[in-house]
Formats: sequence, structure tokens, C-alpha cells
Amino acid sequence: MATHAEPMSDFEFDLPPELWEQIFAHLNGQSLLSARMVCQRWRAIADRKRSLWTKMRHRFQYGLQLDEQFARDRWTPATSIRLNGSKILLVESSWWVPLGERLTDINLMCCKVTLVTLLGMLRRTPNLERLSLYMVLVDCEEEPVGDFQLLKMREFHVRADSTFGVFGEVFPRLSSLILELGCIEQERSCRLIQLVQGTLKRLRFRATKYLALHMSLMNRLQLQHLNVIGSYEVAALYLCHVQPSIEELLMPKVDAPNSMLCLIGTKLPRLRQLETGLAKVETILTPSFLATMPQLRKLSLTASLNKQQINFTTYKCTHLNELYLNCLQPVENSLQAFLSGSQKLQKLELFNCALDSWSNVLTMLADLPSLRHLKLGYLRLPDIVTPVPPNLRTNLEHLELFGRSSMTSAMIVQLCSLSPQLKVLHLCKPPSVDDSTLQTLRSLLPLLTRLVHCKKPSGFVDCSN
Amino acid sequence: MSTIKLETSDGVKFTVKTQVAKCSGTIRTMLEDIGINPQDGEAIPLSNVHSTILQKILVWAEHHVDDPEPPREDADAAKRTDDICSWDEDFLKVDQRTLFDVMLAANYLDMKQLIAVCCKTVANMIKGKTADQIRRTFNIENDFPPGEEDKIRLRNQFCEERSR
Repeated sequence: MATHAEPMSDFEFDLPPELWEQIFAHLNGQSLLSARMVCQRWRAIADRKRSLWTKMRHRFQYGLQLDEQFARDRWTPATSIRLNGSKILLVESSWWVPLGERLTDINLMCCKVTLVTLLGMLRRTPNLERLSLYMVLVDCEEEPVGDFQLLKMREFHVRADSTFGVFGEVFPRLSSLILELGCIEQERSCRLIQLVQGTLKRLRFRATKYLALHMSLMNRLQLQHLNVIGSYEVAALYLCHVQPSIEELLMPKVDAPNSMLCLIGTKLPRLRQLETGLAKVETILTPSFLATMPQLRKLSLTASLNKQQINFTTYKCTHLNELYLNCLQPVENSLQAFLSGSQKLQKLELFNCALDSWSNVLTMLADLPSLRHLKLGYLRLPDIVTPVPPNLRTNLEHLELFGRSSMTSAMIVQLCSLSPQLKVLHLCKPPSVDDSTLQTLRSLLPLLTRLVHCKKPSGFVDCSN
Repeated sequence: MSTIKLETSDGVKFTVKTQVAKCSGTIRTMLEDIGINPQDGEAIPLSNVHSTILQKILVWAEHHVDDPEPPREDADAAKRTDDICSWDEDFLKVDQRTLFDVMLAANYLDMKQLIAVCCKTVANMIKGKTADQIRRTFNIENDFPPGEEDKIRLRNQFCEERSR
């Protein structure tokens, strides 16, 4: 073949497919699409490599009707599809078969489809891992029997009144389930959970008495992550009693009294993450539940009473990595005392909290060697600026300050001057920060890669370098 | 300091520090697993590598010999191409044929870091270009049957990058 004395042809110095695959892996979506239009060889190499296409998705214009006539041409090898406002009429259509075979993700929004058609589509998606139904209207006269299984299906997200027990038969190895819907689907939801109880680890749903009772009878159910929608604390407490395997408990709308949290702490020995509301207490709240949760890594507390006083003084969370407090007023020095026992803290967010003194805040931050990320919003501080002890230094890399709070620009400059490691600084609708202050901040922070300053919540002005 | 001899496809012999030669996974395997003894004075034959290319690769290996082991890359992580160090950038300012020859040799010699930096360089030559501009850059012929390119272009319009 190579005996011709031709000038160098492309093939003489071309690369093997595995090197082109590695090159294509560095391309963004648009460049990948251009590359597959270059020549037949490039298209074959790019289309064959599945991992190149996991970041890509098929998209269609709103309101498309999908039927037998839709399209027959070759598709891109993207592994996910999103349909918005579509009327889906196809049943195992010839064009859906090659497309469905590749899909790992299906996302339907505001679509209209019958359950029979939906199951017909799913029958042709053996590699499906995630399905999301958002405001999808599923017509169903009588629930059919699931006569096929999608064994790779892991995550099912329903935000509509479209739950059916048949999904439990079709997705028998589901590990993550999100049911965001009203209470009218309880029986179907219950059947779905029951069918996947052996593999289900993550559940987000509206806990009701009916569901909690039925779940207590599912002896193979071992949840690790429970996210309760709504404020029905009895069901949440009951679920904690019957699911001691829970490691992450999120119930942001439940206003839990301390006594209930103590019970939860003793029932859940592996609890690592807690997000909860706190019931109204007229005087000072003593969070003794913290003593029952020694494994906590993440803690998020929101008081239902504005300026709820709380006394952390005698408690310690040795393993805490992240703390988020909202609407709380720690009594004098108690937050400092609490955090001095959390040397692994990496992230701290305080919203609408009242603190006793600015110099104490700075001392507290300087005492946390692992702290990299700080977010302060609508902070209330006394007007008096007390002198700051010398030689303080934080290891902060990411700082966000936002909302009308009693922080002055002098305080912002002071905090930044103690934080020479800062890489990202967000100032969103803060107390007036003028151009000369911004200049000062830039000169104080040699490692800064991103500075965002916006005066109004909507109008972001990016002042990054 | 121990050295070994390498012989290229055109019969040129190179004497190389063992440590530098071990930047190549292929040579490392020969020395460590198969047990070829460098003291024998026998040259290791590299029948797929030309002396001009090996010369260049040894310059790269010499410069990077003390680099720490790179962290294991997450397969799904977004792959950057803007992190090529300036020394490598200058090193790879060569004509396309040489660049491809270096890649082929690095592939044969199993030098993952060199391959990675070459792939990023080639990816940067593709990024932001239309199919036609890419063809001109790499001197590739459009071999699609008439009409096929338009069909691909049409289907590409129904595809986008996912926002995570």
C-alpha cells in the first residue's frame, strides 16, 4: 500500500483511536459536536466512546408531539434526554428503539402521556439509571402489571401526582426515591416503597401517619438518608424510631422541640447530618440534644422564633465539618465556646443571627484552623467596635457577605486583612462598599481569583480580575 | 548513577540515566518485571521509535523526572486544557507531524503524563473551530457522502451539554 511516492498522506501520521478518544475527552459539548462532523473516522471514534456522551443531552423545542412520524435520521449518541411540554404518543416506535437503548437519563417536564405509552418507552431503555417526572400528567385507567425490569435504574424523582406501584415492579433495585406530591397518592406511594425496600437508601417524601405506619412493617427497609417534606413531626419521629440506620436526617420544615431531638439522637446512633427547625421557646433554648449526637458532621438549625436565644456553652461536636445557623441569638460567648470544641469545622454559615461582639467573632474564626468557607448574612452586631487582639489570622479561602447587616466596611476590611488566603470574595448587597474599599480589599488579598460585588440582589456586577 | 542503553528503529544507540528511562512504563516493566539487567551493556531495542523523536522525548523526560505522581483523575470530572505548564507549551511548539510522532512514541513507551499533555495540546487545536476549520487544521478530507454532513448538522442541533 505504501509504495506510492505520494506526498505524505493523512494516514501516515494519524493517531490510533484510543489517542483520539483521549483528545475528544477534553472537548466541550460544542467542539465535540463539530469534531463528529469532520470525517467518517472521527465520527465513528467519537460516537463509539460512551463516556464522551454522558455530559450531553438531547433537547427538543417546547410542545413537540412525539409520534411514529417524528424522525428517522441518525441521532447523536447523547445518553440523556429532556422533553418539555411534549405530547407523547409513540409506542415502541422504530426511531425510539436505537435512541432509547443508549439512554441513562430521562427527564420529562409538563408532558402528557398515558401510563401504557410511558411503560412502552421505558421497555426500550435497558440502560436507564435515572428518571424524573416533573408535572407530568399520566393517564391511567387501570394500573397495568410490570412485565419487564430495568435493573440499572437507581434514581426516581416524581414531582407530580404520577406515582404508581408498577414502577416498583419495573425498577426493583431503586436506591433513591423522591416523591414530591400531595397526599392523594399514599396507597400507590406505599406500594412503590414496599416493592423497592430491599435496595432503597435515600428517600425524600411527605411523611404522613399512613406511610409511617406502613413503613414500620417493611422489615427489609434500611434507610440511610431521610428527607421529610412538610411539618408533620409525629410521622418524622415515628420513622426515626423504626429506621435506626438513618445517617442523614433532613426535616427543615419541622419545628422540633429539644425533647424530640433528644429522642431522635438516642434512636439514631449513626446520625451524621441533621437539618431541622427548632420549636418556639420563649426564653433561652438549651440544645441538650447535641449530647445525644456525637457523630454529627453537618448541622443546620433554623429557629421558628426570630432572635431565639440559645445557649451552646456546655456542648461539643468534635467531628463537626459544617454548621448553619438561622435566626438564632447565641448567648454571650456560647457559640465561641461550642466551636472551640469543633476543630474540624470547614464551613460556617450564619443567617439573621445576632452576635455579641465583632472582636469575639474574629477571635472565634481565628481559633478554627480548618475553616475555609464563611457566609454571613443579615448579621446583627452591637454598634460598638471593640479593639481586636493582635496577631489574629484565619485560613479562610471563601467569604460571602450579603444582606443589610450591621457590618461596616471597616469590619469587612478588618476581616479580609486577617484572611490572606482568601481566593473568593462575594459581597452581595452589603453595607455600602465604595470603590476605594474594593481597591483596599484587592491589595490586601494577593491570592484573590474572584471578587463579586453587587449592589442590588438582581444586578450582579462581576468585578473579577 | 546507573545508566542503560536504548536502540532506536534507525539503529542509533542512546545512553540514558535509568531513572529518566523509567519515565516510560514500557521500559520500567522490562527492567523491573521481566528482569532485563542493564549491566549487561545490551541495548534495549525500541523498534517503533525514531532517533529524532527519542531525542526529543528524552529532553521531556529529563525535565519531568522528579515530577510527583499525578492524582488519580475522576473519569467524570471536567477535563481542563488550560493547565499546560509553559515549559511543556514551548516544548510542544512543533509541526503537527512531529507532535503526532511524539504522541505515537509516548503511547508505545507508555508515558501517561506526556500523552496527557499532548492530548490537551491537540484538543486546544480543535476547540472553538467549525468542522471545516478543523479539517484545514489537520489536513483531513471530508469523506462523507453528499448530504450526510447536513444530516449530522441537523441532528447536532438537537443536542447540548447538560448543565449539572
